[in-house]
Amino acid sequence: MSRLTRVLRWVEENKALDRAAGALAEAIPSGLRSSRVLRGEPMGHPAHPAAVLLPLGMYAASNVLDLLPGEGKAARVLIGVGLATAPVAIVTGLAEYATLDERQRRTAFVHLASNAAANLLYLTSFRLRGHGFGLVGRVVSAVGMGALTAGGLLGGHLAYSQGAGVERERV
Amino acid sequence: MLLGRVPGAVVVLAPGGVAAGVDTRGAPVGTRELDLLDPSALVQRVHAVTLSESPSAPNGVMRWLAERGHGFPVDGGVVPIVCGAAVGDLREDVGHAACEAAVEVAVPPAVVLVGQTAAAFVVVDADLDKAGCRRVAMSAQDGLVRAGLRVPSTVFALATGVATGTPLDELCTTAAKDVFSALR
Repeated sequence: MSRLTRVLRWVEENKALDRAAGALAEAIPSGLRSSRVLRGEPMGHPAHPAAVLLPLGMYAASNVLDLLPGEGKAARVLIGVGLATAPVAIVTGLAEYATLDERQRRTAFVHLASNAAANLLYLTSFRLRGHGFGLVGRVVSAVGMGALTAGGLLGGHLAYSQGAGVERERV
Repeated sequence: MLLGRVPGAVVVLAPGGVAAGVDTRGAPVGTRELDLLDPSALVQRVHAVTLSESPSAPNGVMRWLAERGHGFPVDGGVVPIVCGAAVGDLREDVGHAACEAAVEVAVPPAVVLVGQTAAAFVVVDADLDKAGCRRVAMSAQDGLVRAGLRVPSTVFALATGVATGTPLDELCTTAAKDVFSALR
């Protein structure tokens, strides 16, 4: 086991997360919880991993543009599109969340917290850029990418190691 | 928590929901909704626990709670989460009547019903989650064994949600003692 997988295992086995993670599962509106479309039934597999590519791709592309001179405006537009498509990722994720078991829920809770932080950071960056704080905005964006990476890592663990949503929908 | 007693049924009502756990030994029949008490399940709280002579008692309890709008929200209404164990095979559903008779009292620490099987619940003053409650229920089973009971049994544990700081081990010991004394 690498040091990284040890951290993932620690999250997965952290009983201290149960209370908050369980309360969140119960608090998810029944409309999201019971939506077959949001869970990806028409596709035959969870919709969330595909839906996240929209905001994730936009955010990552804006980080690339940040490295190029004179692309500030384009970078901001990309973050804006990312923010606009983030709700799709959020609702499909919450629909999945209600189907998870205890261990998966722990990972998912940290995954959610980390991605929520990332989205808030990109939102902050978007507003900073709008007010002319381009450089600070870029730094905030970079931190956001860090949070997004952590969230993505946990998401990967959830799907590939913990098998969340695997063979759930009838094909 | 409200406690309702009528001949043939005891019901604990917690309209706002309460954390609960269960442990079964032997193979008791007439149990209801025990699987949702597993920590993996979505719902974290139950709205009532029923011990009765009749396996259908939880129906009446569910009806009573649903009439008042208490339950887990789903599309188009609520589903009251009611767990139960029956110790006999009476046909009559006395669940609703037990709810009507329910009053806000200090719930006794343990209530045991013995018939063809045994059913009990313990109430602990602590802020536990489902896993903690299950741990208490497992210990409470020992109280039944100590009292010499030799029938399949279902024991529920409910936590009031009041954080008292009592260690889990101590709660378990007390629960076993309470069940033992309730049978005496």
